[in-house]
Amino acid sequence: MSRLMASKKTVGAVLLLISLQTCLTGCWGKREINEMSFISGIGIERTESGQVELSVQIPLPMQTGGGQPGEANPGKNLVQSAIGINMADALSKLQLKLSNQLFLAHNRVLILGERIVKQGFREEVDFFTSHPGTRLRTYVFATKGDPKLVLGLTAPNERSSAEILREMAVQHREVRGVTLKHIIIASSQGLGGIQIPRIEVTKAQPDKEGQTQGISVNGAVVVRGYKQSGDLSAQQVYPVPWIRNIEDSRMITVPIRKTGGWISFYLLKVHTVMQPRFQGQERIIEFRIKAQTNVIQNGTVLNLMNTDVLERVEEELNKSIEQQVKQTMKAVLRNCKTDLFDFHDLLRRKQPAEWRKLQNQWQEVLPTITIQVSADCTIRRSGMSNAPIGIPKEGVKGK
Amino acid sequence: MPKKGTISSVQMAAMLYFAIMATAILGPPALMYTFAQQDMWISPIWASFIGAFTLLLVFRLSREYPGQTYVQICITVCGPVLGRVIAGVYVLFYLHVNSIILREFVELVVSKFLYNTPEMVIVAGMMLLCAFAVRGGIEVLGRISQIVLPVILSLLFLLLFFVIPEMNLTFMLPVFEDGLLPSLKGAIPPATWFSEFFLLTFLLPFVRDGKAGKWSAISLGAVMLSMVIVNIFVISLFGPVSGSFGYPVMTFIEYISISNFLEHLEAFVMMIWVVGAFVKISVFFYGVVLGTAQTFKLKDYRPIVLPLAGLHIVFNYWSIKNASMLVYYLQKLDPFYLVTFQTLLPLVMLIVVKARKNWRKQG
Repeated sequence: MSRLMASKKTVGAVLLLISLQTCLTGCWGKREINEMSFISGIGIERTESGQVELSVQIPLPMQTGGGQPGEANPGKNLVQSAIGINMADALSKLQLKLSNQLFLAHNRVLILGERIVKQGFREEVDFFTSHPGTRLRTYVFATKGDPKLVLGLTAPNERSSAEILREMAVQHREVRGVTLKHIIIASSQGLGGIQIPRIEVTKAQPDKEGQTQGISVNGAVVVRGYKQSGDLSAQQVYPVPWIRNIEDSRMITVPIRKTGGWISFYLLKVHTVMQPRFQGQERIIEFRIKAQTNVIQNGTVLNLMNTDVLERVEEELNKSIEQQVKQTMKAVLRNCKTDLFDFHDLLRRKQPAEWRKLQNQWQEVLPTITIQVSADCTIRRSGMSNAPIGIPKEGVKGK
Repeated sequence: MPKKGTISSVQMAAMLYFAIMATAILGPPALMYTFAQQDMWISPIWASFIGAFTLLLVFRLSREYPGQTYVQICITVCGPVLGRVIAGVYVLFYLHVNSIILREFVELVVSKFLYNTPEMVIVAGMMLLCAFAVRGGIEVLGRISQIVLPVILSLLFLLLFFVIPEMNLTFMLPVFEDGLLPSLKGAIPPATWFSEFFLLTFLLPFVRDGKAGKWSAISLGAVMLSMVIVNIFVISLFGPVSGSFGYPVMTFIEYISISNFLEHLEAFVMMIWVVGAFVKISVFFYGVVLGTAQTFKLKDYRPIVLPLAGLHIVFNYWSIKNASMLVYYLQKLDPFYLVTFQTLLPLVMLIVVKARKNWRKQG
């Protein structure tokens, strides 16, 4: 009898388990991938009336993948936009235009339109920090004109224009690292600033109609407190990674005044130490830049195997770097009036007494700071060739 | 009482580590930053003194009354009526605290991951799981902690390892900008967590290998070290905005991107969170259940496990209404609430015990 009871119990338990399983499948809440719209890029722009125009790029699942390896397979993307009071409102209006559920977590790129950068985008950033689906590693770009144009671009070598931008952000060091996190940190105390790379839509061959278009990074927008405070040209942005001590391998081409011609160097390693020297009206920040370089191209008649010649060339290189950094700093401090390199933090750490005196008028102090730059470059290798190629021995200087 | 189990000191240390660290990884760094700014990594060191003091109290009390939990000590010292009242207050206290821990756990799951799932499913699911674990007894809890601890710790440090390239240690400077005070103030929120070492009182009677002192000290050291490491990561990754994120660790793990391939690792954080919270809630729950059983002199605590689990679920809705209230509670009230119950009142109890002893000697 008791055994029968036990088996009855077992049967009951098994039946219960089986019936529970049907509840655990969760089929009623299923959402298949082709029922979702994964956003790959977001563009925002302020409308004339002060609202937000949100544009999203959605890769179309049918077109991605396939094709021969190595064969260019341009992906097709859908670009949709909607206008709303703020980001969240625009997003909900955008959802009404689409049959599929929008999915934010795969977004990598945020493109800011020209007007919104000028007028400020703090509220839009708040959306990205508050929403559970967005992430701080969203690379931010500023564009001239409408961000829709960038999103709508078909990319011959990548899945989408957003993917191009993301690749650019990771590969090219001058745009690297500007994610939402950096912008938030730089703007948090109201003192610092950050450069946002500016992108432009370019045509590969300008005269031909319907040519594939490309995206190029051209300079940067300097932002202070989520608002544009100035511009940096491509040339002015160039030394920014050096000053920020971002590991970088880049070219620099230096004119050699004495003999004429140019020598190009490959910067292996650049390291900048900043030292503030504030004393009363004297406000100096000293940059000491150390760099190691390789020669890539020698367009002069100088024999770089000669150590005396090499020293002279090093001096020219130093001068060139100093000049470039000074120009950048002039643009940053005088034109943009932005503390792009966190001098306030530097002063707070190195000269706290001076900082306490100046902290309330920091914005006025900023343009009066004098920048002193001293570069100390070492040429490690002068390339694979010993002497300038193709010049008769008599023509080479410094044997 | 049921057959008394035995746990090893190592298991006890693992349980304590979980009971404190599980929730200390995610919330407190932001709370500490608001007080201590760049010195936030020093704060856990100050706060650990509270932990050491609490541990000392528990050991002193258990030396006076070996094999008794704090609840039993209350009844022995203050008599059957007053003692039971105090013990009852402690049981309610742990019920309340544990329901808030449950809320903390649910809050993150709901706000970050399962925002479409009915909260009740998560709350009740977790509580049911904990109820099973507690019904299994102290040995089951000890073994669970011992098994999952290495997994969780290695996972956590692996995740932290991936963030190293993003770190900017200059955010930690200047140290002691405004003297010691900010870091001491920053020690207030973690003091809450360190005072939770008082839970040892419910575990100590089951440790019989005589190494409880050594291992609880190791547990304390491990908790302090983990908090310091996590705080160093938070401050060097977020600098001036460390206080702006509710769950900074979650946010920076999300930020990981290793060669465009290793991304979206927050699911692992969730794994740590769920497992850690499970052990933490279970250990607290065990305290509640054992405390209730001892207060009312029950022969077996198992029949009251499920009803008490139900009570936790209700308390979890009663005590905290929204996320803002939770933060307010953790930042402003919790430190005083928990430190009073777990450190100050036991201190008073110890003084009473000692004074009576002296009295008797003299008299």
